Amino acid sequence: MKSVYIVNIPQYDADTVPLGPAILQKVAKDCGYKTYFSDLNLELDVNAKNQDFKARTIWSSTLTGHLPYSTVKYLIKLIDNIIDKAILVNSDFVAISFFSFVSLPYGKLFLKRLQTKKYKGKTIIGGPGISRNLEIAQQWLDNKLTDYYVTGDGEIAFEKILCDKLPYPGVNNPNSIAIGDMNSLYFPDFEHFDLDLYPKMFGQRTLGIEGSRGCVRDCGFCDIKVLFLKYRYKSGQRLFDEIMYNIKQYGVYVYWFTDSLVNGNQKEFRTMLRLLSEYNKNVDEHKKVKWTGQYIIRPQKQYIDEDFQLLVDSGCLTLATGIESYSEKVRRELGKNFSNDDINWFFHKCQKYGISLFILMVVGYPTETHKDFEESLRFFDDFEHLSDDKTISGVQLGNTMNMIPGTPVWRDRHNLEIEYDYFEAIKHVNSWKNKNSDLKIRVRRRLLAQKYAIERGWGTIIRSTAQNLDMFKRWAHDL
Amino acid sequence: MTFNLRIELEYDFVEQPLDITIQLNDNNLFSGMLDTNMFEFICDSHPACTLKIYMHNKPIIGTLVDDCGNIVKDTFIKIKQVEIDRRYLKAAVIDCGKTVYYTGEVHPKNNYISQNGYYELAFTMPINQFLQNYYDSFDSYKLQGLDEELAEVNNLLNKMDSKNNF
Repeated sequence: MKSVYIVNIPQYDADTVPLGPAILQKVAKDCGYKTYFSDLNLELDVNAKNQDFKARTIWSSTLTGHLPYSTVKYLIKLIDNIIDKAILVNSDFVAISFFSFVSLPYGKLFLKRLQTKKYKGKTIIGGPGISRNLEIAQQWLDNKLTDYYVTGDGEIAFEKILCDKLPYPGVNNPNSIAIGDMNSLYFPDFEHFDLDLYPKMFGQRTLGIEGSRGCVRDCGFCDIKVLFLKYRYKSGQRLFDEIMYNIKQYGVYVYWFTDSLVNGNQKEFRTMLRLLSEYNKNVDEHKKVKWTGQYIIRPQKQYIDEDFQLLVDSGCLTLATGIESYSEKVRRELGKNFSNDDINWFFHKCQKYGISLFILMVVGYPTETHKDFEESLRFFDDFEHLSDDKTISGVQLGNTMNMIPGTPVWRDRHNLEIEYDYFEAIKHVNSWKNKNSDLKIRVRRRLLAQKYAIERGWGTIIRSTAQNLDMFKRWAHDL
Repeated sequence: MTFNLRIELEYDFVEQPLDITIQLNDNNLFSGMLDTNMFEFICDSHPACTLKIYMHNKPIIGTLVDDCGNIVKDTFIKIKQVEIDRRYLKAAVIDCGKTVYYTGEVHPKNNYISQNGYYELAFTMPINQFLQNYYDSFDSYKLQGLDEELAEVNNLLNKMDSKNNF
């Protein structure tokens, strides 16, 4: 029987079970293949969080700059373990999933090791990290580092490769086709995934679930539109059916929506919430569905009375939402059209209904002046009480603004007078500058924001700081 | 110094409306028949505060039970939420609360008054400090390492400043 070995490549926070490989696994099985799976990202993330020095160094460096060979060798050993297994089972294909551009150096190393170890099967690379970096993918194809690259939605393209029905748009070319009917997609298959190894929410096994691709907004810093072309969604009924299937198949009651936003289509979102609420009313406590996901705040007038109760009854416990900046000017410039009053109203509704919030912010948007930055810091004063009572359970300040190719702000780079500094160990996307900031200034603002927040009692709410600080320390050598 | 205290109650009764008293540090904030589920007070702040909510008049037949023993209707008060200076006490209402009945029975970690007696919540001011101490008992919000983190941030800022003023 033919077989496919699927690999999830670092690096991103392994918050939940990766969906992409689970979808590919289902496609491969439907094509008559036996499947295997290894999650290199999870292994490295867990080791880094467990303070394994080499893993942590690799993680904070994102494999850029000069790392000691002994450190790189540590990663090679992890990679070789997987390749040895793929060779042992004589797999016909190794399919590698790239989550983002950060995955590229890891993926390249993996592909090189496949060559070194004389792997005889064919290789397929895909995922957001490939779709966003077509020149690199084409280069790897030309240099015979890979046999196929897939851009855009991978389901049909992967099937065409495995069933030898090429050519197909998006395989070894950039002309991918967005799948319009999300309801027709397979349910992901989590066989071979050790679900207990992944982070659990509320102490229970947690699965990722995808309700939509793309976004209804076009925020300046975000490349979702480049990646997914247009906004598409599953119906509320289809999502409910998928959750019921997962409960039956895997006994999982906790879900992490991987969408850019769960409430892009209000009508379908409400349908799903009503179905889940009805289900939750009729089952014992331990069988109630709980979920979390990314959510966009809308202006107050777009809400109906039952929205917050439906969120609670459907099992929503945390909503991650991108405020990005507490300066209304900057927020408007980056494409989010809700006011500070809307934020205030929404936050206090969540407080009243017991929904916790995880806030995403970005420091150093290209139009952010120092005055704007200082204005944004008021966030930590205005909502200190919500941090005290843990209505706001987390704030992600990130690694400062990335200038990702293809994003609206990158397309507008000439008007924004964007130029680049060269730093040996710092990625190009980080090293941009204009009249409002350069990387030094952004890192400084980012550190000041963290300091300001900690001094106001937000200390335990600010997340991922150890890894952020590791990265800033590395950058500090160049700065 | 004063603070804002809001109390949200859920209640029901079988025969007669409930006669209650709300006290802070043994001073009456409210006394009378319960006909609202939301109270709001401006209170004097003290380092240590004790909130008590009394139910005085549950009759002997204060609970209706069907033939199978299921409660059909009860006389009770449940303290749903306590809000101090805009901060919700959430689970601390239960974890830091207790009920004491006239019979002498004490039920720790309880926010449901089902017999004549009172609910008691002891807290300290400032309330943000009280909440921080409360959440510090949970792994996800432990304060350990925070001083080191702040020192690391300051150290990094100083290093950057010493290289170049910007």
